[in-house]
Amino acid sequence: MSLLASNARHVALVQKSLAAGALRAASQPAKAAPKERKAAQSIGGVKKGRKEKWETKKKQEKIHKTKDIPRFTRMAETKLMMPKTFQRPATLPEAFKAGSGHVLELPLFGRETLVPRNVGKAVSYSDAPNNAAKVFGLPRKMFFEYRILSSPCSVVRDVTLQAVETLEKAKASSSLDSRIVLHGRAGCGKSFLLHQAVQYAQAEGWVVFYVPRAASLVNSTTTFAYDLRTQTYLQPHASYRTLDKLFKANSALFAKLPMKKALVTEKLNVPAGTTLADLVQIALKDRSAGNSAVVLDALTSELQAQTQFPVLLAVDDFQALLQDSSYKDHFLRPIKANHLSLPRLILDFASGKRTFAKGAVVTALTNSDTNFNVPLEIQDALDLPRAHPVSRYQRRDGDVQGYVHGLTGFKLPDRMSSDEMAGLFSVWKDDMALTTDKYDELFLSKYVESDGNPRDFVWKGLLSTFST
Amino acid sequence: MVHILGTLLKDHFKVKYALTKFYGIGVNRSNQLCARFQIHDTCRVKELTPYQITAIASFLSSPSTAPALPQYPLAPPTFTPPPPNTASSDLLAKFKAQQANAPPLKMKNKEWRDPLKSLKVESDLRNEIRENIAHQRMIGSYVGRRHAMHLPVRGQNTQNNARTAKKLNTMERW
Repeated sequence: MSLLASNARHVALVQKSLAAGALRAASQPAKAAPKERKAAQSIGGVKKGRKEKWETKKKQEKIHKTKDIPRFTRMAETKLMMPKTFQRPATLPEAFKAGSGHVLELPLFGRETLVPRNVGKAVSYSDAPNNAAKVFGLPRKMFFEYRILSSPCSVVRDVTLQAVETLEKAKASSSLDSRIVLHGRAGCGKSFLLHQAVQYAQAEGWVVFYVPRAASLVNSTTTFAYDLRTQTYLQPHASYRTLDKLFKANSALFAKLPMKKALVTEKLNVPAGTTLADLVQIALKDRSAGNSAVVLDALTSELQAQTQFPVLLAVDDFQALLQDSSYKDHFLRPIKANHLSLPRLILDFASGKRTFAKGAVVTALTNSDTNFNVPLEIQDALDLPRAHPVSRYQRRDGDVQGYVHGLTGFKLPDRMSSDEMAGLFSVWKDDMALTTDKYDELFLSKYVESDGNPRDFVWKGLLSTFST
Repeated sequence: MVHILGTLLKDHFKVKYALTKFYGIGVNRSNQLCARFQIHDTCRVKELTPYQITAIASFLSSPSTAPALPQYPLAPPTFTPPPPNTASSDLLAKFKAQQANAPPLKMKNKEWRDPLKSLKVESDLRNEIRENIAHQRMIGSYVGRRHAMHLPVRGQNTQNNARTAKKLNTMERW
């Protein structure tokens, strides 16, 4: 959508409203100025003996008031349709009317659109039912943004192309060599970049395991039960839902992958050669989620060994897995995240203890979650900038230090470039979200006010402005 | 809808708030109980398994006779679990042998004492309160006399405002 075309649409709308406004002015009679009335006031009470006089005065006031009440008549139909101002139309633009079918028309996200000449242009995602965003969900703030936009989309950035390049290199090598942590200022686009990586991987035929809100695994919202064999706390229902999502997002790929090792437990006996799709279905049949944790473990072991499809494990809110969870043990002590089955699975892959034969592990930190702050261990490992000086004597957990050892940090730039920001601006402008037609002024002022931070630019700039 | 010890717990309540419906259980005791039975924060009463409900009911009927809490070993980062076909009876036997030799749990250099061991709920608690009042009366104390006279016990003014005491301070309280 070009600036010129949307401008032309806006001019047409204004002309229409002007015509309607002129019609309204002609039909309106001249209004008389309202009379000034002094209300009867008694400050400090009424003097002795003057009560009757005061009450008669008040009664007279009441009579006046009843005469002033106008009789309400139904407003003329033509008047109801008129916009209230001449300069700005108060009628809803056609795009927002129900059934108008207005949707942002953007090129599809994929190999062809992710090229250097498209940096700063917006691309939209496919509407397929197995789309990773639909199946696995999205981080909260991204979800809110996509709820407002008419179609989910994002801007192609320099870092997007770098991420694509990294994934292409990681395609043929073990995940041990590609364990990346995206970090940067709050609102700089880490979750968006991770989501773009997930969409790219899915479009290229990778097996995708996306965890958009890792904090939901550790905030005591799902069942947990101690298991003697693994000496960790299993999370049956979380494992069940993860299996369900993995199956929905990757069903076509799982149908082509046979199991190399049989899975034998006290309750299950799945022979070797069964496809991963069938294995997942066996677990999903048991609604009490009794077998889910064991089956998820077996599934990930099979994905580790296979070399047919590269695997992407993408985790947002990674810092939540590196500290105490909100779960409590018998003695009311907090359970560490690495003693819960699902976080432990993710940490094993992130630390390199378990590796995919082909694939990558890409994680992103969240600076905006006050329940799960970025812990010291990963701050040290990635040399993250600190708000306050930290002492060497402040306690670090040895286990967590082991898990974060060997992770590669990828710092996103603090500021979006002006081309990228212009692309982001165009998305909201074309989706009829702006309240003004002075685009250059709005763009530059909000770009400067937000210091190039994409989240602040959209939420505190474009969507919170009072300028008209 | 679950009935435990004569108290109805509604399905849509979160367990940690539903448990406060018992006389003698407040928010803190409720959190301790949920931790003891591995009930997560957002669990609703309808999501409880029959095993968990039975466990809560049997515990609350006599908290002092409940078995000691096991100290579960937690896997270090380098731990490799045995294969899934390992018999649970073997694992249990090994765990029990380990527990028998394990020293008692210490927190902050002191032996950990179960706060729920001395828990009293419902009729037991009511009886205890009644016994306490009866004891005060028996020894002829000021507190006992005030209870008998339906007046405030703790030195409040009675010129005005002793209504709650006049209504509730009896010998046969509860």
